[in-house]
Amino acid sequence: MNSVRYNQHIDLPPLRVLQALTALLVAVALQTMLLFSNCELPQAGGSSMLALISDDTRMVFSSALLQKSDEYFHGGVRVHNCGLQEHAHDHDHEHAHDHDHDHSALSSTGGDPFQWINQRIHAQEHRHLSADSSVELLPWVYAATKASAHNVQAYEIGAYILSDMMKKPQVAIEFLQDGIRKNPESVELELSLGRLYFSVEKNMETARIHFQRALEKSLGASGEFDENDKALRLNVCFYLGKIAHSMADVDSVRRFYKIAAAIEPNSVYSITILKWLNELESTKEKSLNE
Amino acid sequence: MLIVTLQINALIRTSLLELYRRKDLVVVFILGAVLLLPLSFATPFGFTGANIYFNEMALLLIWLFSIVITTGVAARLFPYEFEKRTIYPLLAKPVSRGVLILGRYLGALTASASALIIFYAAYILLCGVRQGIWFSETLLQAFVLHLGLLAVITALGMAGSLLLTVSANVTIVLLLVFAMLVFGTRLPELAAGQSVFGKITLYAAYALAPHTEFFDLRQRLVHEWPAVSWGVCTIVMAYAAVYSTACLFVADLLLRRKKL
Repeated sequence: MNSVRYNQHIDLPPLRVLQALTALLVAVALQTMLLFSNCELPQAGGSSMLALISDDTRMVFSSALLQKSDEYFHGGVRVHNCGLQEHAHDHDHEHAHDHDHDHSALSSTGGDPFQWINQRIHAQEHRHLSADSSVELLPWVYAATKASAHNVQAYEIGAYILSDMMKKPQVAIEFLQDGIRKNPESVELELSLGRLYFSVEKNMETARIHFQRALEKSLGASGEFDENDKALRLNVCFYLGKIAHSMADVDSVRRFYKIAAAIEPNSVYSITILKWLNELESTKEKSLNE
Repeated sequence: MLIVTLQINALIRTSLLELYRRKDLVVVFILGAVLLLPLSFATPFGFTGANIYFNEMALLLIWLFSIVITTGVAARLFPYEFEKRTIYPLLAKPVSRGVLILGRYLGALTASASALIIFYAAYILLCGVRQGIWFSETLLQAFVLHLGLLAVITALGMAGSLLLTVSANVTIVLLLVFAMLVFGTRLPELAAGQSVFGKITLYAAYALAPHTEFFDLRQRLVHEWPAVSWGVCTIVMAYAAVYSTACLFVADLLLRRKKL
């Protein structure tokens, strides 16, 4: 009798481990199915503590999924100072940032044999995924937005991949519109959509509408503005000023300059808008004189 | 010598039979299918052709399942023998304690390796069908190093099984393996910011814990990085051999000291 009972004791722990593992994996499977299915989870954090925790957890999970897309962009290497986010934000600036920064593959190990092995086993060189293979990034971006629709950065990066890397601007536009529907307060998404219409689609009128909305949303926001908010508003003013300049609309350029100067008169955006304003005013003056 | 070989063969056979009798493999295979099937049909944004994420998930499952199976097999061997009292007729055969340790170790390793071969065969089939890539040098290296990892885990689990209960042993081995897999490369970096006691602890862990991260070629395989030099692979396998031998010596010492 004792022997039987003790045998059960011996067999049970691994069985419990297997049961726990089964439960965990089934949970992961369900989550995976939800992520890749079209069913929508409730996205807004409610007032209850549980809803708030759930919303935060989903945001953390979503950010981790998005981090994977950045890792994939760098061939599975985690690179901290050159990310997809940087590319997504700079995509109309022709990738001007320095790509030659140091990612030396095999740095000094300080005589540590374990580090020596690790450096040779795990790839550390700096490389970017080619545009042809950019489809590999999509599952993670898609999963990130499904995990939390409030992950605005995931929408921005996804739009960048779709429009700039995969040359599918229409899909990018639909994706951003979906993001705006789920994040109606987001200035970033309106700005991204405006930039997409401005730079890729060359549709100035639609771009102007979205920049205008971005400006309204940024001005409508109450409370203190941090550096990021200021940069966003300056960026919006810059694009609106640029469109107004191309239409020779002096009054609009002046208006956007005033808004930009109120935020930061010495910023490159304010100075550029002022340059356009002076240019238009001198042209107008010249034509009046003639 | 012939007798010893026959004894070891017999011990290996019983370990293999034990694994397949328990049907653990069937369970993990079904779990793997449940996880991978929905992923294989996923077409985010309506685009097909994304393979890296699928390969990564498949390899992750192979790693997870192989580690769990190996730990379970290694940790169960001796407690089960003691409880069933099958160790007494074995030692009375006469099978020396050293041969018993070696035989049981090779048996557990063969059982785990056989499961690994099945997993990799399934992986090759998946990659071949989805991408048309059936073989690469990195895949061979990943398999060889994975075998090295299983050798280390088996030896560690076996030594632990003579010291701890099955559940404690499984927990500690799994914790060690996964902790080193995640933090192994960063331990010196983490130690630098600690107090003296923390530094000593972390450096001791760095020196003594099994460096499971050495055996992880998933990143190279999945992201199609060039293969590692075979010289480095040999060094890693030598590390596995030294670590496993040390664990087996400890196991032998523990078994010799154990009152039967």
